[in-house]
Amino acid sequence: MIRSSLQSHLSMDHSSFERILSQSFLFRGLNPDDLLPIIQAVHTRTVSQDEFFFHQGDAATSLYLLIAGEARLLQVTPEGNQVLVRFIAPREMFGGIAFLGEATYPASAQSVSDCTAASWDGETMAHLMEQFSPIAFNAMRHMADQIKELQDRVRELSTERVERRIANALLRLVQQTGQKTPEGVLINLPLSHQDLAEMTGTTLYTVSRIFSRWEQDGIVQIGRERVLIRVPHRLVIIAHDLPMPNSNKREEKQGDR
Amino acid sequence: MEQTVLSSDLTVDQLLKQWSKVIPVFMRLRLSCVGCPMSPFETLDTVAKIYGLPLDNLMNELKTAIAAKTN
Repeated sequence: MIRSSLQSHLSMDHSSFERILSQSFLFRGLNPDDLLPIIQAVHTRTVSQDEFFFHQGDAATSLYLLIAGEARLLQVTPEGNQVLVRFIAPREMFGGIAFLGEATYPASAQSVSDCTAASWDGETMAHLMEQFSPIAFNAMRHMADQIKELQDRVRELSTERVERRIANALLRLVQQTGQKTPEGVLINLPLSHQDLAEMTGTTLYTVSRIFSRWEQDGIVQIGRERVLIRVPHRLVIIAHDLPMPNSNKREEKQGDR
Repeated sequence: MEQTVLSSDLTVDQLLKQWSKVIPVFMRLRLSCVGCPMSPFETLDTVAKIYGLPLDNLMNELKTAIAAKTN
C-alpha cells in the first residue's frame, strides 16, 4: 500500500513528548519515571490533510495518540456507503485495537487537517500495559466511553427524529472540542454538512434544511468549517426533548425516556 | 482542589464540581443543568435568564445549600 506519510523515530524531543504524554488521558496516573520506557518506544507520524493513517481492514499494527490536527474515523459499508464513526481531537487515542494483536482495523482513520500523532507498535503497547496497569485501565475507560456513545447513537437512530439526532451529534462534538467564546459555544472543526449527515444517518439535504431553520431561529451560526452555537440551551432542548422554559406547555413524556 | 468562590460568573460545571451538594437545588427548581453537556459553557447568570428566575433567589438558594451541614 502506498503510504504518503512519514514515519520517524523520535522526531520530537524528549521533553515535549513528556509534556504531551503526561497530559493525555491514556497515561494518567503514571509516575513521570514510568513515561521513560513509553517515550523510548514511541514513533511520530505526520499525515497530511485528507490522507490516511490506516484503512479499514488493514492489519492493526499500531496504536495512535493524536498530538496535533483533527482526524476522523470512517467506515464503508459493503454497499459503498460511508459512515462517519467519530471525530478525533488532539490527545485522543485511535487504532487502540492494535494492542490485541492479530486484529484488523474496523474503520479507516483519515486526517481532516495536517496531523501529527504519536504511535506505538501494538505488541509493544501490550507489554507496556502489562508493566503499567494504569495504561490498560485508562484504555478500558476510553473504550467504555466510546461504547456508551455508540449505544446512545444506536438508540437515537432507532427512535429519534432527525432534528434530535443532529442536535445530539453537535452536543457530542461540543463535549469533545467545544470552546467558549463571547458569541457562544464554538465547534472549531472542519465539519461539513455531509459529515453530519454521515454521523446521523441522514442526508446532506436534510442537514442543510435543519441548519437553515436553526440559523433563522438564531440558535446556531454555520460558517465555513465551523459551527457556532449561539443559544446553547435551545440546542439542548431539541436534543433532549425538554420543555421550553417559561412556556405553559406541560411536559408530557411517556413512561420511559 | 482549586478553591472556588460562589459567584454568578461561575459555570454550572465549576459549581457542581466544587459543591455537588447543590444538585438538589437544581432538581427542586426543575433545571436540567445536572449532567448537561453545555454545563461547562453556561454561567449561573445565564441559567437564571434562561429559566426566568430572579438571579438573587437562585444565588441565595445555592448559598444556603452550600452552607448547610453535609450528611
